Amino acid sequence: MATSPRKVLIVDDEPDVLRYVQAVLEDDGYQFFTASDGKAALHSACAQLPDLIVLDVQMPVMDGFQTFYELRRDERTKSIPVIMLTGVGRRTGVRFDEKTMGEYLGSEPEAYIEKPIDQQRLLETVRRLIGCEPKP
Amino acid sequence: MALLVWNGPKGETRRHLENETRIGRSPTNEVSLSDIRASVCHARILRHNDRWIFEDLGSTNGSFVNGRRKTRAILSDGDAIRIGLHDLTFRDPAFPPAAGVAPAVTEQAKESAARRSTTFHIGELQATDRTLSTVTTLKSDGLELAPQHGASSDCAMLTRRLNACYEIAKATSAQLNLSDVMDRVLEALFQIFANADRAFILLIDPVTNQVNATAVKRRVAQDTDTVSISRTALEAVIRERKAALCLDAMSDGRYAGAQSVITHAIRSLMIAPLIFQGQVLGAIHVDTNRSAGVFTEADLELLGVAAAQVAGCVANAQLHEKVVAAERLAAIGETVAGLSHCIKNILQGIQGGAFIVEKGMRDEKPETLKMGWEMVRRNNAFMEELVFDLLSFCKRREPEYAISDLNALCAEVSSLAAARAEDKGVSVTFVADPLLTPVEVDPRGVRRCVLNLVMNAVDASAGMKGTVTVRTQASAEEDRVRITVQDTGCGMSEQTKTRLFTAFFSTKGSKGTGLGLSVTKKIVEEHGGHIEVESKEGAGTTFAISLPRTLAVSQQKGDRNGHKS
Repeated sequence: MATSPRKVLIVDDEPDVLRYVQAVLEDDGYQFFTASDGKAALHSACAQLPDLIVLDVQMPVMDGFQTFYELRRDERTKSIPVIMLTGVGRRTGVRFDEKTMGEYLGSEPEAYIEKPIDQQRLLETVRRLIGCEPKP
Repeated sequence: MALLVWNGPKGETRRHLENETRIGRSPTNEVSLSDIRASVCHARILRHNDRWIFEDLGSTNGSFVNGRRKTRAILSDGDAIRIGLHDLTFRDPAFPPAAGVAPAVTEQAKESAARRSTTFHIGELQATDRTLSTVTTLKSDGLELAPQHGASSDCAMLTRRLNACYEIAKATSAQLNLSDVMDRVLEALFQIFANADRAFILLIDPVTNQVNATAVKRRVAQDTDTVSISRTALEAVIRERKAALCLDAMSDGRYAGAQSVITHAIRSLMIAPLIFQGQVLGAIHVDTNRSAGVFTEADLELLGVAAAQVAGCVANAQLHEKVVAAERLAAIGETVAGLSHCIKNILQGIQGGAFIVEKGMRDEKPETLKMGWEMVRRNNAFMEELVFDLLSFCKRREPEYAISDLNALCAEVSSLAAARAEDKGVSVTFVADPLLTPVEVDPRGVRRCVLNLVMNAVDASAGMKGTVTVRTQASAEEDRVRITVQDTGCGMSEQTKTRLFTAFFSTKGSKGTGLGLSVTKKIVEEHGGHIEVESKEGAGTTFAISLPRTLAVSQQKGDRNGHKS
């Protein structure tokens, strides 16, 4: 029985990041949607009900943290797993305390991935969260 | 039987007088005084017809018998002879003093003389806990520290000194920068020490431990900037933490052969260490090449008072410098963190592009390959722009002026920006003024300015299906041209407007360096032009650059601006 492909929503205001994330994941056969700010992401999430959201933190209009907070408040989107893309990480020397962020947001994203994005880590994290469906 | 009694290095010393007893600094004298105010052969006492005659042998600083300068005197029992800073007492019970003349040597005077002779070389620096009244006591206790002055001129001098001390106190407590404080202190020291020819404040560099002359004052201006002082004397003062007074440096064994003493013919000098909380921060040095012996112990005490105040001031300034340095470091840290974010974004683009290129090659898909290659190229351009901004910001880039076609330049920038803006749903159009003729500008600089303004406009319009319009205008003013960049984006708040041209201020979060507009303003001003902004929150922003047509005009404008400011 053929199942419809899994849907991934990628949210970043940098088109290059959207292209790159798609390029990394496309061999696993997902269907992609993109948004370039938090508000557009909320719209898209409610309309498409994706299986996974890859969400940038630093964005215009509405940032990633607020977007995440709104997603978790909405019954329709609250159980969609989220991968946060962050420019602030341990490698920069600025400590990014995921636990505190989780407490602050009321719930924690399923994963954090630091920029520049390591393709292998992205691929493995996505597969772990929603499984993969390699192209025939 | 006649005796001469004085306080020598081993305490009270007595000497029986012979037919001729010579007194002076030379050890060949029967009475040899270790006193730099005494001449080598200062005086003698002769036996003549059963009386004792005192004779000054043409000494530099003179001899005093019972407080009066004498070249020759018949001595009586108890007469006080003053040579340099030594008090010698003549004893011969056979010749009591004439009636009505009080014995010159009182117990108090003996005590003072002893105190002076033990401390005259190097005075302990206790200026912080000595009061000015101590100094006045010293001045007025009849010890003839400045015998050339009468009582009224002493009083006038004291007043002048007190005023100068007050000046020093005022200078060191005022909120001025350290170099101003030091200049004022040296000015006041010149008022206090009317005979001083040179005065320096020397500070020890806390890092290198080297002593540098931080403030210099000369009575007579000199062409040279070099400061030459006796290292020997200075090192001793710093090492021993004691103020030093040298009354005749030329013949003082301690400074024998010191180059500065010889070069500047220094006769008399004083050095007081700057000590704060037990730490030597430097020294104040005052010297003169007038006749020897112009400075007194009281002068040294006064210098100590000044030194204590300057030391507190220097310590405070050094602390302030440390705090400023720490703040600067924190600001640099923030800047570097901001820059590293920006560089990371570029890195992300290049890495992503390279990955897509590889994928396109592997899958043999030319369109994928082309997309990846465009990403690499675009991000490479971002990196170049960032480096350009940084160099312009740090003034390391020299503008290269050339006759340039601004219409062509703006068209190229607009088409590049249009390509970048496509992803963000923003359109960029260029409206050229056909009447615009080539102008003399730094084309790379102007290109960077226009690109900065256009990309800011694109970012402000992102996600709003906005439009950005670039226009050139051959201005109504004949010698100027205008470039405007107008957007229909989010506009700016009043708060943003006030911080617009501040370096490292950005509303783009980690995606902006905060350098763009400050660099743009800098480049425009280098051209002698100016930049204007009109913005309404929610309605859009227009930036206008006005540039002079030629370098000559720009330089005139630059000069004019320079005079204005």
